[in-house]
Amino acid sequence: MAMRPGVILLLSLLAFCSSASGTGGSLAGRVTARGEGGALSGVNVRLQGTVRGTTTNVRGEYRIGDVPAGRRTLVFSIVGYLREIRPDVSVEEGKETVLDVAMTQSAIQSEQVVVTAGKREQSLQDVPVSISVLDAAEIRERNSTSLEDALRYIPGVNMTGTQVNIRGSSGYSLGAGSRVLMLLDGIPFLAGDTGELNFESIPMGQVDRIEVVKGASSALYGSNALGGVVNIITRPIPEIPETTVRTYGGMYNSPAYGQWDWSDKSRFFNGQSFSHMRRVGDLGVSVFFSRQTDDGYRQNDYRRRYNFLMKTREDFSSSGSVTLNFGLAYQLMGQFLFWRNVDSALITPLNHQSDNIKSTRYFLSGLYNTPFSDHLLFTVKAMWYHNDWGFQQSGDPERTESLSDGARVEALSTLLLGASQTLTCGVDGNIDLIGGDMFGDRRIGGLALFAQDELKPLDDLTLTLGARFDLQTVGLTGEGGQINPKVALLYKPAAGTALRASFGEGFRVPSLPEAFVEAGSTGLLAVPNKDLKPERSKSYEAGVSQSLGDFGSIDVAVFRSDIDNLIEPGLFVVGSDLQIQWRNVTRASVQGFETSFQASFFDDGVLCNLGYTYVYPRDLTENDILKYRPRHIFHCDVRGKIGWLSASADFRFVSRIERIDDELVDAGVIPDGDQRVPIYVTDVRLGADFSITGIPLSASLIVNNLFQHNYVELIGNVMPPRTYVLVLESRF
Amino acid sequence: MKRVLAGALLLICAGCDSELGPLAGASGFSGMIRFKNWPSADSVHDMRIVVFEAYPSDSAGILATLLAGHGAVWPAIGTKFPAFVDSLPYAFTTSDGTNLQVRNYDYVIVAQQFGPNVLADWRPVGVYPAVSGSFIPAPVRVILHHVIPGIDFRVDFHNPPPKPWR
Repeated sequence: MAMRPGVILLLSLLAFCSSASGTGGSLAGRVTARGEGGALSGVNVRLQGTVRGTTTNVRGEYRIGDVPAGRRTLVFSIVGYLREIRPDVSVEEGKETVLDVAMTQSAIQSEQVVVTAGKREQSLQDVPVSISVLDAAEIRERNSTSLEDALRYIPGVNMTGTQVNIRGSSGYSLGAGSRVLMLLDGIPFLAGDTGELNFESIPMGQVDRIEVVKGASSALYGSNALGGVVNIITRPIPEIPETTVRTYGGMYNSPAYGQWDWSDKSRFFNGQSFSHMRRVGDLGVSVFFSRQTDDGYRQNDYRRRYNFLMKTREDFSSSGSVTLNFGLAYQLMGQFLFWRNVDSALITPLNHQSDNIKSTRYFLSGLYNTPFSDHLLFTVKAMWYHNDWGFQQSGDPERTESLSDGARVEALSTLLLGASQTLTCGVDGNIDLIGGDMFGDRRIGGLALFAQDELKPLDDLTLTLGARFDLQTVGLTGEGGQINPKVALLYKPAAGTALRASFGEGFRVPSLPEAFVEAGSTGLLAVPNKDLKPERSKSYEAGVSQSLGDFGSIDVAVFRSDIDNLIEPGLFVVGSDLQIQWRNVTRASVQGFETSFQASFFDDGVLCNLGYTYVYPRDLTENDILKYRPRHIFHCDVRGKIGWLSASADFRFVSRIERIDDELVDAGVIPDGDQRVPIYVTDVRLGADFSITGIPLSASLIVNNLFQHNYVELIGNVMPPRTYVLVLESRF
Repeated sequence: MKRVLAGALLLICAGCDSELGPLAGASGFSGMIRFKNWPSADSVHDMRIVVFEAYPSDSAGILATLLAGHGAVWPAIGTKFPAFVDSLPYAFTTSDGTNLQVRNYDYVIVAQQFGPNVLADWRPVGVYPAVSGSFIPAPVRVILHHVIPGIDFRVDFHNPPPKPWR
């Protein structure tokens, strides 16, 4: 009987995988910084051509067990240092091979290892898409206490209130849905009910890095990844126990105008956090707790937030591991929706004096990975995410509540087929149960299959082909399956030069609020639209990155997205009422270019990053600029260090938003909502690290918005004035 | 590199010329009202900040005084005053639909409508004082294109200022 080709392929793969398995020797050693000789922790150590690897502990030590005997190649990489490759390392049966490595410091970010572009670990210079990384050091240095604060410093990203806009993909959808998918350790982390990004659930003190993929990524991640992906990677548990205590306190400067000075008291904010991490044998545990309190610089803009995160990781001798995370966030905040008018920009409209939002959110996530062989890694990720939040209007004794419980599961396999092909494929599913007054009882869910193949037809050429089939339902008419393909090329004609080009399709299923919200009072009503169709996009990108040796690197990319069925909130006058309804209103095209430049001076004593993005967001239906998208985004930061002292500065420029919902202003919903200006914000910091003297303490003084520029990111919402912050941190 | 830094400085300086701020033209005053000992809801039918050019002596003439433009109320008629709050920042200006004028107002109060009669059931519960803590009224001069900050009121419903009218 003739065997089917699929069965033959499966048997061949299994035979290939099993032939590669077996016990052998081990590799171990210590990684240090060249010159100063200090241990480097967090260095990624990979066994080239296999799925095996580890990271160094705080003493710079690493160990990889069960390595088959033979000649092996080890790759060492960490951000801020040049990658080190050690070929022909001999591994003998039953013996441990010791290999110590010294790494050279470099300002070039391309040595960074990323996991979001291909759902596996890759060097930043090996990915064929635009991706930016913000690491923990930068987050701590800026004292970014919430995710939206951190994202403002990523090239091509700007915020509209709490909505993330990557390269013009998103405008302002009144808090409903998101065209950017947020992941927590690779697992989708959007609220099941509103479909928005919940920044308060992210324990910023435990973030190792934030990876931002720019452009449609639905071929790997499905719905919502239309504009890009933000992946928050939590800190790994080190080998040596580590305790961190951090506290900050600050105050807002008085408003720029006496007329805006609504409070006779100074407005303060502060926060404290504690974390402890340790390993006991193969089990690692970390515990994190933080509290934040903020008076707010505006009336009824206070915030109290508590975060808790517990992480455990059990490593198996087979190099597999199980990681469990439990996170809890509680927040009570005043709701400053928009100003009374620009003359009273820091006070709320009358009868919104005490609007507030209270939320309790928690999640339990798990990650299991096991290498079936040196060439096959199998990973399962799962998360349960509970959201309970409620909104209470001034004078209303009742709180309007929304509850959601969401479960997500993903099974993923990464198969190395020789040295020139990597096949990644998987299946994922999600279900969300929604209850409460806001959206009623609803159930939404989906199932998806995806695969991505990376081939190297030539040594310096990588071709990536991928596709994903999604079946998502939110209860709308005309729902169906979606197939999103992707193709990408990466060509390295010379050392330090990489050319890339990619095409991908994206889609976004309407969120519950866009489809079903039915709320409001006389005068302003939100009405449902069950005929909404998913948005679809086609994204193209071409780019080049060039290393400039020890001096730095430069990256230039041109991009274009064509979007169909773009969902936008529309305001319509019906009788004497103003109605809001989300509709598939338009075809759009977003094109532009982005360039980033990194440079180092004085032997890396001074580092400089520049990023500029030009976006031309076009509404093709109305032949006008898309709403709430800036054309120019510029960011520059300079950092310098001498001994135990450091200084840094950031400058951000975002051009004036050209088009908004004029109806909101004309109807008097947001008085003076048309008042907006370009954004020019300068932040400066001075730091002192006393750990050089043996005292485990660092301190920094931060002045944000140094020149007290008054601006809005979201209409009717003035951003903070100058703020002064003192940060103290002890790590031991 | 020098050009890059010069460009960055140019951008920062350009920012100084494009500030968001209060619209030129508004005139009035602003401040905070602090409340204490709110009475039961059935005796708080309405609240307003009321300004009078002259000290009123007769309750029957108050409405006529306001209609004649010799006084003004905030918030504008038709807008609800938020009750039962601890404090309320406000801005009483010529640009928010009130009939405030650029002139001198001798008597500036917070008034409570305690009964159903919208014409008669009013009493002062807070006054802008000449000396903090006193009930001696101080005048407020509304200056053209200027909003005076710091015109604050303390309202204690158990200890209201004397009623100037009969």
